[in-house]
Amino acid sequence: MLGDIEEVAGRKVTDKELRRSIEIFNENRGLLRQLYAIKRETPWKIAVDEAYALTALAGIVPREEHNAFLQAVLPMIEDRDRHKLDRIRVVYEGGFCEQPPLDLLSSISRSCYVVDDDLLIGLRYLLDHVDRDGDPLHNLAEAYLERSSYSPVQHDLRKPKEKMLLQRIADSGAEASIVTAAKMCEPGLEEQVGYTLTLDDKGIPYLVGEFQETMTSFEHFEMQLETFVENILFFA
Amino acid sequence: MAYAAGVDVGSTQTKAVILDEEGRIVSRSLTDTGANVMQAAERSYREALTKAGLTEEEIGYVIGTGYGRYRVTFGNTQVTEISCHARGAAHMFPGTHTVLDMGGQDSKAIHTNEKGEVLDFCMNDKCAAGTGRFLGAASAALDIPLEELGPTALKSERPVRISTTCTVFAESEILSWLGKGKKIEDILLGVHQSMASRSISLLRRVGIEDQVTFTGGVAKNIGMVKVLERLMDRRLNVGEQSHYMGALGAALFALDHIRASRVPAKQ
Amino acid sequence: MNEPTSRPEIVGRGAREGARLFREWFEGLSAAAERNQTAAYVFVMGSLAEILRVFDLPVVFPEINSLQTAVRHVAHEYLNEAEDYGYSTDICGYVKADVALQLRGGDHPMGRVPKPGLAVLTNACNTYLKWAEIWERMYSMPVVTIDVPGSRADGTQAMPGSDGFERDRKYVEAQLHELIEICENITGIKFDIDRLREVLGHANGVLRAWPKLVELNSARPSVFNALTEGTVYLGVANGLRGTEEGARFFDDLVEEMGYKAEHGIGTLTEELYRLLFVGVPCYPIFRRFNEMFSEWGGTFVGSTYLLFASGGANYPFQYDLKKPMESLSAGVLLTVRAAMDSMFYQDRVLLEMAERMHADGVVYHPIKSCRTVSTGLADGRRALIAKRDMATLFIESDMMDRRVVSEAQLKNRIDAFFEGLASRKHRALVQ
Repeated sequence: MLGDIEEVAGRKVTDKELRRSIEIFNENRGLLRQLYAIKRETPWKIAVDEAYALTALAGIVPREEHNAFLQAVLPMIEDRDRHKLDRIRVVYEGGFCEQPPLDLLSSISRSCYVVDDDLLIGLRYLLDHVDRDGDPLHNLAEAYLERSSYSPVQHDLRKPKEKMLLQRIADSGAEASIVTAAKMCEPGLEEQVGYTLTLDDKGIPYLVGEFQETMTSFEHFEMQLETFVENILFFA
Repeated sequence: MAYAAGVDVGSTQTKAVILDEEGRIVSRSLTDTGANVMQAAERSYREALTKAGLTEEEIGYVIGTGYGRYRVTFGNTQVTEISCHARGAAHMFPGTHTVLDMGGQDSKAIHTNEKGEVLDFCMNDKCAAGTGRFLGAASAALDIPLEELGPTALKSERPVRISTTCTVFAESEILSWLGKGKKIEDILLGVHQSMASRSISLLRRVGIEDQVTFTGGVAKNIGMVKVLERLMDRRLNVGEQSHYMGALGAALFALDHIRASRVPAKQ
Repeated sequence: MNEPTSRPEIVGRGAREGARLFREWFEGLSAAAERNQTAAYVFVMGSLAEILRVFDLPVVFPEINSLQTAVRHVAHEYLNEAEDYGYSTDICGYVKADVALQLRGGDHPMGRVPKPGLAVLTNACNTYLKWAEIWERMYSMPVVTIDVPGSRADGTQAMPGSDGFERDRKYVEAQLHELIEICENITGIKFDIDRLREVLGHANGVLRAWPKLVELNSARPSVFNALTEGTVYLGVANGLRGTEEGARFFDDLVEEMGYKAEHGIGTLTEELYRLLFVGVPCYPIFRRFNEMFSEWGGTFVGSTYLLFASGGANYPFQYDLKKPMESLSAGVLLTVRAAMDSMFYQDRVLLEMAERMHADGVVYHPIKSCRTVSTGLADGRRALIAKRDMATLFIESDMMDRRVVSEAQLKNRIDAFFEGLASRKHRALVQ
């Protein structure tokens, strides 16, 4: 892969450059973990669609810029004068290679605090710092194999998806889960069954749905979500 | 003088056309198909005969087309409406190389040569979203007669976007826009544009080559014609016979048979 | 010139024998299920039957089980059951039929299917992975995924003799050794390299015969229906790969087809139009589907299905019994990679096939269940037409779900296609 990149770029890439890049990405990972910590601990300070936009920028601007941006913005978010409202804490799981529309996310935030999710998981796939020292390619490969997140399109016996979802729910103190899949997404739709059977088994409430990047009306989904939330709030 | 007849049994309406030996239309008829397809075919045929002042014996050859073509039991043979629309369009508009047929329940794009022979075709028969049925749903939801849909749509300057792919759910999307205070013409133009863009997808799959002829019942809708012309950036051929194009094509094939039977067999 | 030997009894032998072998295979599986013996669940694109047979593991092909439910008109019951269980209408029908089969304890119209004690798959199809995960959840049994390096880009395939190829081959071989170890643990049988040689020898028989069989259909008239009879041959090629009977069946089949070609004996259809089929057949109305073509004198002389579903038999390869593991890993790499590649640049493959098989038209059949084989058919068709003025038909249905199979709509398009073919023929004669 590196060889292909060098061919396209028209120059060689040195280990020193790779290490520097790893450093920058390590910083980015740390800042994104901070953002997600804010979501988890004080979700009223940042809505899921806002956090989504902040994270998505990482894929659009150079990471150095994204780092600088987050460094400036995160303290501002922490300082926001917002109060906790009566919303349920949920984990939003969707195997999102196709992206959910922002309006769908805002419709969710109207009744839920999304305290963790797998949105843009590709940008946050490595869970931890990557070692700076030694062979950078080896370190990257090792991090990918040993310390990465999970997804419906990955098969790893050590990371059964439903177990990881339960872990996510426990770690974030969520009380329910919203499980969606992109329409026609085979891995996502198949994973849904594994997820829902496990959630049933553990007695964790969940709402199942489908979405499309091109969808423009969300009334149906929002109505079902509101009914779901009402049931939890009123009959818990 | 022998006459040729074509009967197009569609899911909503049945059409019949009778041609003389020169290929001139001497009569045509239109009737609702209803539940009994065979009776609809016969009814349509009889009506055309009556209007032409002809008896059954004077008809040299009859071809059935449309979904119900195998129920045209009095017919000599059947030809698909794809071939018939292509043939009819090329006859009415020589120079046709692409045909768009939007019917009550399906739509098709056909690429033809100058003789009206089918080179390629693409159909939408899985869902009503690009068909006359979609307009019927809009007409019901907005309580506006079908004939007025097109002219009303053309008054709009700010069409809404109709994203639902399903005719049934599009109704609720239409009502949702009404609820948000959108103007009827804006909603209607959105409906027309949604249908037109589906049709253009079909057309692109067979390749759009001038001239493009628009056939089928929906071709009577001036709004659809204009929206398609705008989107395709060209004039479309639309004839007074557009609704009868299938039956016309079938009658032309029937006429071929009559002419062929006149050619003396080689010894 | 010698008088051709008259051996009418070999005509139809393949059909009879194929049916018998199929039946016996299922009888064997039913017996295993009754004894509570488990089987190895494998897939057509890379079954690794060569290794599994060394351990006498009964081999189950869930893809074949599923399609049989459709051929026998009961697929809808299985699909409904899986959908009630939670699976979406939009996912692969093969997967759903198998889920229902598992929920029914293996009850199948052809007998009883034993549970999996092991699943072996390759990365040739993304759905294989999700499918195996379902069994993992149900049965907690070992799932071995052989990660076969695919082609990174067109024209970059590493070929035997290159460093890249050797790197990839070693990677595959290492995984095969892992599979062997797991098989030893499950069966308690020690791996026997000589037994592997024997199995490879039989597999070589199928690998030798298959390309010959496919080529024999260039005869006029064609000697077998690539759609209907082709499916039976695929069943035997996959289900009996590495067995003596499997090898013999194909030798006999090549003999029968050679005889038919020599004597101008065609299929049951009076051949007017020779067609290629692209995709997976419409099993819910299998016989009728073929009739809609044969009624017009259309015969299927070739099919891409015979390429990607043959378990790599379409790729010219022979195992070297002197270097069994090295050769097996090379074979797995080449054939599975070829199966994956067969879905790219299909226009090239089809044009070649059309030339060799003297085809008049190509029928594309995308299916709702499978994006893997169906995405790109529309573009592929356009690319083909741009290169050669060929009659093509594009019909959509499914290989399992009769809810999206509309005979009336299919017939409408098929009839229009033949009307077009007839007028092409007429034009060609006149010119």
